Amino acid sequence: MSASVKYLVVIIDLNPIYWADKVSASNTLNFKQYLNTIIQFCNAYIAFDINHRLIIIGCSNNETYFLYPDPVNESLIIPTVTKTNLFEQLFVVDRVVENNLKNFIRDGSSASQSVGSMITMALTQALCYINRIIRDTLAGEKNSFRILIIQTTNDTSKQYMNFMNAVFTSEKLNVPIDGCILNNESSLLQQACDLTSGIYLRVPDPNGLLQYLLWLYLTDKELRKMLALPTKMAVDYRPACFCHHKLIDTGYVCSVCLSIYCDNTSACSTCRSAFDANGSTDGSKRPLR
Amino acid sequence: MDENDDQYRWESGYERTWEVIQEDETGSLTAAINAINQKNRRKELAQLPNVRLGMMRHLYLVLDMSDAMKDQDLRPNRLFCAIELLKEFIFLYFDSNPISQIGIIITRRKRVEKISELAGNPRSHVALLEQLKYQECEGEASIQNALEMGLQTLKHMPKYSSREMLFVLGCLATCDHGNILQTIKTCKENEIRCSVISVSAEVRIFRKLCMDTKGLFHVITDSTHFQELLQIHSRPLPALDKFESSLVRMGFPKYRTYTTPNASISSTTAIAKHEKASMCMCHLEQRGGTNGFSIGGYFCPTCESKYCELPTECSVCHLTLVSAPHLARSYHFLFPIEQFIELTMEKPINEKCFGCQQAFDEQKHKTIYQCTSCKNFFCFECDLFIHGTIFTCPGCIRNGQLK
Repeated sequence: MSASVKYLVVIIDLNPIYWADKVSASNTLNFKQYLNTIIQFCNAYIAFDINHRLIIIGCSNNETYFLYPDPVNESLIIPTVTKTNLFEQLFVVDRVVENNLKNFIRDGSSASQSVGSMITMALTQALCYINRIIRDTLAGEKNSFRILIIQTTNDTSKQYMNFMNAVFTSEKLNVPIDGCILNNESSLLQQACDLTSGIYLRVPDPNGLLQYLLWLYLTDKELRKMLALPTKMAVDYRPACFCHHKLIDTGYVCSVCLSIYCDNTSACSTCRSAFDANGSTDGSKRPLR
Repeated sequence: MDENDDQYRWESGYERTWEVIQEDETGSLTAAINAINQKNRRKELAQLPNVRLGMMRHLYLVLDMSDAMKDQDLRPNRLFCAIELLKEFIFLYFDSNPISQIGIIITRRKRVEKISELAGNPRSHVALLEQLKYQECEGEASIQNALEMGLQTLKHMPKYSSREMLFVLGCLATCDHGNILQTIKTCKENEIRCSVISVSAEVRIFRKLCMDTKGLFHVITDSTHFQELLQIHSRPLPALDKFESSLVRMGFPKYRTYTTPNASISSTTAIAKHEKASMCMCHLEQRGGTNGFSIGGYFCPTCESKYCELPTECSVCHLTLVSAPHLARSYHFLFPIEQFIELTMEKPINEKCFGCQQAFDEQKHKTIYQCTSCKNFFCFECDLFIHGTIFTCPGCIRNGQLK
């Protein structure tokens, strides 16, 4: 077995708005089951290999919180032999995550009115954390990293640029982003997974979340080659124009700031540069070289 | 010699460079050196606000392959070192300027050769550069010929793009057929910015070329410095005054697996039967082999010709084909994040870095950094990482600091 340490950063969407009406639902996944499922997955990940390391970040609609590892609280928990002879490390993980989750939910203020979750914030923090581990590794050690985003809420278009910046960073660091979404299709997450060559999946039935997590997201890049993965869908990379927010096939791009317009305009609304009216079709009518 | 002053180093005043370095109590220099390094690295990332950048660039890379490049002052020799660094440069260039183009010219035996035309695919350029490693360096370089070859293509490039030539030269002279000053003048008239990185020494004509065309002139000190200089050139430069702005028509093709237009992507098996393999336009010229013969591809929205990679220019209707992430890749230049303010840690505070969650420690973190808008604290490494790689402050996302 290779000695390289494998890190998995799990970003969990804990947005209260999504779970509000599903607290005690019986026919679909409720919040408690959701958390249980994720803990089970995390336990499975740790138990899978001695070189596996786990980082869990929770994010609500305006806050993020590192649920695990927590060096301060970890020392307080003394593993006790339980009735079921639980693996010591798993016991610690469970308790730490449980305590931190309680704190997080208690401290979470509902002041913010935004509906979307702070996935981007958690992602940038995860990248900073990974950057720190990369910096601290000794020469000769080779660690691999992976980020798994479990999202329940819809995309927020406000975060597009920040999210894409984070995705490009992840691409540069060679960290695949896996996306698992419980609600509607997320085009942002889909693009992120495609660009970083991770797996994207919209869970068809939330009750089967654990099975999906275990089958798809437990394995790393090398092992995935041997698995039958869901067929990759063609990702829609068409942009929305800045003027009407419609998806377009052909458009006009400002040469100064790269804003996208669906029709000829006389001035750019982003950078306020005025355009030459007859220069606009320049790109397509250039003489042959 | 620095870029801006007109004095040579040996003409300028006496600098006591060693006095900046102070020993600490234990007589160690590490702390002082670290502090200087930190300062320099931060300075590098500081961006000038409100400067218009030339975002679309057409750049010709001119590589010297004269006798002088055989010298072994860089390891293993000048040519190998330059090619290795240029390969890195090409990837950096396309990372910072995704819809720009690059072309490669070499000069040897008083002649020039065009290795590749202006194009947007980094991998093909790098493959061509790799082949150059095994070719002979001989004769003398000709700057005038290189300039003329670059001029021929660049002068037809649209006015809104930044036209540039970057010379990597090891020679100390240029062997030309005519008056090079005249050619420099023509370059100036056509607004072609020429920059030179000399791997040997400063040469007056190179410096004049750069000054006249508003380019940058540098002489390397070692290979690390060489790498840093190339990094400077990989970022878009401030635009020249006479720069036009205009709207450029671009196509955003969707990846499809069959050629039937206007069919929905989530196809049933009935449509899938019509899948036809076809040749893509980018591999059409390479005879033989099965490269480029496939079912899927990007189809030009106007003329339906197929390409296997983006960004590219449609060879049929000359429409620039890009995808949204390509444009998004350069948005960080347009919406840069503010510099964090530096704070010295006097008394221990019970805080941790907002980025990497490391608890601040008096010994390790002498200075910490604070974002001016979200007031979160960061450690030095996260500050660098945020300003140099992510371009997004984790704390500011909450405020939705988007346009």
